[in-house]
Amino acid sequence: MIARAAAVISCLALGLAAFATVIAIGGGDSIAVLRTLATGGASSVYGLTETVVKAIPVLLCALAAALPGRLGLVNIGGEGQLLLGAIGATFAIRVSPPMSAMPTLLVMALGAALAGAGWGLLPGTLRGLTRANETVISLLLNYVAGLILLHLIHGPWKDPASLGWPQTAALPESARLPGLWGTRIHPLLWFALASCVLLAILDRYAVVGMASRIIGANAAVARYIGLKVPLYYAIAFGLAGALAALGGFGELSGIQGRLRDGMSLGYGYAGFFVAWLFRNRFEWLPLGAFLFSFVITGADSLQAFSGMPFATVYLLQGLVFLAILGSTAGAKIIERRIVAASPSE
Amino acid sequence: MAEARQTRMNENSTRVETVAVAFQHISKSFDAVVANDDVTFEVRKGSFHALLGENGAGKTTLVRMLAGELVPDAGVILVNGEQCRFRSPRNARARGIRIVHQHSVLIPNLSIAENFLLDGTEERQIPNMTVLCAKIRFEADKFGIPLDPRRAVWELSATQRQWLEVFRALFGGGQILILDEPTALLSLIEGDALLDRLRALTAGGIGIILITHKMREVLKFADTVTVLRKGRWVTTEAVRDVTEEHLAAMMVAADGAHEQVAPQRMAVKEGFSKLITVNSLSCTDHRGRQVLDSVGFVLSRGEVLGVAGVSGNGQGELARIVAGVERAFSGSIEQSSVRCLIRRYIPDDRIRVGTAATLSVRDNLTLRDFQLPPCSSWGLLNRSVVDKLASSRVSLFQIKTPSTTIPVSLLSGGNIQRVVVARELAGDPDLVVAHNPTAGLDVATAVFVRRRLVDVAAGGGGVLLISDDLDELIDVADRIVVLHAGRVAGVLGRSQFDRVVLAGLMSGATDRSIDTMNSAP
Repeated sequence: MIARAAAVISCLALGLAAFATVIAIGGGDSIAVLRTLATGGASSVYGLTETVVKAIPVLLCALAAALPGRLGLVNIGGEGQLLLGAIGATFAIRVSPPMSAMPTLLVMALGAALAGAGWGLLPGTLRGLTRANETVISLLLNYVAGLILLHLIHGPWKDPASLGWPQTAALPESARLPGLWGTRIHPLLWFALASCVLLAILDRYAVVGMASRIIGANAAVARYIGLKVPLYYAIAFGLAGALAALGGFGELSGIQGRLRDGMSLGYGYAGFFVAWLFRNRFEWLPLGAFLFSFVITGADSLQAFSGMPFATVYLLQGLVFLAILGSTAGAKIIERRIVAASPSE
Repeated sequence: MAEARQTRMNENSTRVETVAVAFQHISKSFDAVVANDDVTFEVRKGSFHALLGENGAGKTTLVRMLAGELVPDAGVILVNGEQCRFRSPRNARARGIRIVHQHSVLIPNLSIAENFLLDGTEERQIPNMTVLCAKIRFEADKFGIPLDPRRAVWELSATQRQWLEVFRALFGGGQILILDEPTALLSLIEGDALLDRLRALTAGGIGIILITHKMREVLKFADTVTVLRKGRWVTTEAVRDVTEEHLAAMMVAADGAHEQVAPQRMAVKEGFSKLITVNSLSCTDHRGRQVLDSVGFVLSRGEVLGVAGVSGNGQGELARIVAGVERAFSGSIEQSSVRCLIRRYIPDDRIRVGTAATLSVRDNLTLRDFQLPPCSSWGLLNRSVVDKLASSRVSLFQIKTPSTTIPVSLLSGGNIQRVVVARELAGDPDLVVAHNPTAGLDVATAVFVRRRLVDVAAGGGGVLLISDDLDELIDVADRIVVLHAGRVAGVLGRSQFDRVVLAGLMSGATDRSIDTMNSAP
């Protein structure tokens, strides 16, 4: 796994190099852009805390991708599940009577988790029952979720006092997650880290972890020893949806304070990348999430200071992804060479 | 034509000009498994030469070497008297050797003419489709078959596609056609029509090698037959001189070297309790073809019930249904005891179904135990118990592995099968379904696996042994159910075991389902 981490870091470097080349071809000052990217997340205490703030949804979405990933499934639906979480939390507070902070936040979290779980169950159960491809369905549901959000903020949930801005009214103070240490880091950080630890322990020491490993390794074997594979698929996707959705709840309640367009800076996709890079190993996801949100924060300041569009971060992510795809293939070839060279038995 | 046939049949005319293909001392192994062992025989020009043998007799391996798809380990192949070392199918094609595989390799979405182009026989230039189509139509008319080369292949029936493959091979200059069970997917009438046409081709000097295990086809259409058994050449004879009984005996004759596992086992006593009763089991495959048709039998405790049949006659489905893995079927499996039976299954495909390749030897050995105490408590795994259990199975079943933590995929085929058998036979199972449990294993491991199966029966369990290996069934089974075309073609008790009778039932030539059902012990 150390070698894997080293490979990931070198691939990040390779991706950055390719990114700089593209910037240079486009006539930009690639050195300055890279410097902003590198320092945006670390130049100040504020930058560092912002990196942590963004790492929270990225980590939750990484868990949402890694959990089905252990079963050999691919969940690219983190983005949509996150949006559904924000919608579900907003719905919960709209229908519940005014309460003090703690119950309000719990009701919102519950609303978010249920909505996200439902959204995740769609591809999960379809996969288990009909063998429909969960990758495609979860991906396409992202767009559906985005459109539902737009419909709500342009239509029924639009704040009449917003002067035409497509957004809901600001959440009451009781519905806001408090910042820790005077920063925007909210308590979901603890929840995300605790989920990570719990899942890592279950994966390694629990019967369900072993069962998941078997399903992930060979679903045919799992069926034949009597594991209820569709049930595992559904539960994994349901939990994944709930985890990503809680990331959406955190963005809504801890950061944005209201439902609006742009709830997610591609956290769902970033989370998917992280899970994929670290082969769905729960214990490595916090590190991966931090690295990726570092890049996102850098891109954020890029937008603010260099006048470059935020979409450049997608360009960067895509290049890194390609570099890693290449390195994975390369690593496999090397592995095969080693196996072939060593005497068998 | 009759005269031509007569001269071809003349055993003395072995002059070089009349020999199209000569196999000389051909051997081929895949790892430890010997597919062909010192095979020598000749195929004469313009003859319809059948290659007969059971599953695993090495028929397909042999012709694939002729077609350039495999390279022999030893021996030479002479084509028209010249020694050939084919490195690829392209080399073989250049010599006019063409193989038509059992499953169509035509691309359904392309037109007939486009499929002909793909064959690579046209010269390397931009093809003129109009000319090509005209040429195809002209050639097809010679055979009296109207063919529109612009039609897509998917529009054609299975028979038409089979014929098209043959025609494409001829169009590409084929002089020696190899057909690997061309009638397997066709009905009787369709199959006969295809073979009739093929026989007509031989009059024009085309040599045909037909792989089959259908005796009827050999007797009706071929003029020469070669029998292979367990990779070895047995005989090459003129079809007019042989009888069905003779061929059946040649196909399945006892192998002197075969090690007996249970020669002195006692027959199952009348008093043994029934374990399961299978009633009129029927099911269809994903294409809606009837794979099992009202199959019924009784399996008693203490019994090894063999299931024989040419592979693809419903064995896989029967195994999965009785093992409880497949639930889409009609009919019933009644169990006689009240408590839940411990059912175990040694699947046909040990790599893809029997093991999880990326998991460790330990995990694969304990797949059935990790959820239960003592391997787990309160939902957590007891690692030390699991480790101990795995190690004990490694030593008990003599699995050769450097450690229990390496991925099972690194083991050899025989050791992977030992892992599967060790896992499935642990914990006193009531019912074990074993499907080809010794296929591709070395002799020592095969004997070992058979012994363990017999042990299960001796311990009061029931074993359903579904095998393509008749020797194995005759050796180990107490009774043998023969499947043909998804039906029970007959049931034989141990005293009635006879290779010729079994082969007859398997090929569907004889149907003794009525009289043997009643006389079975």
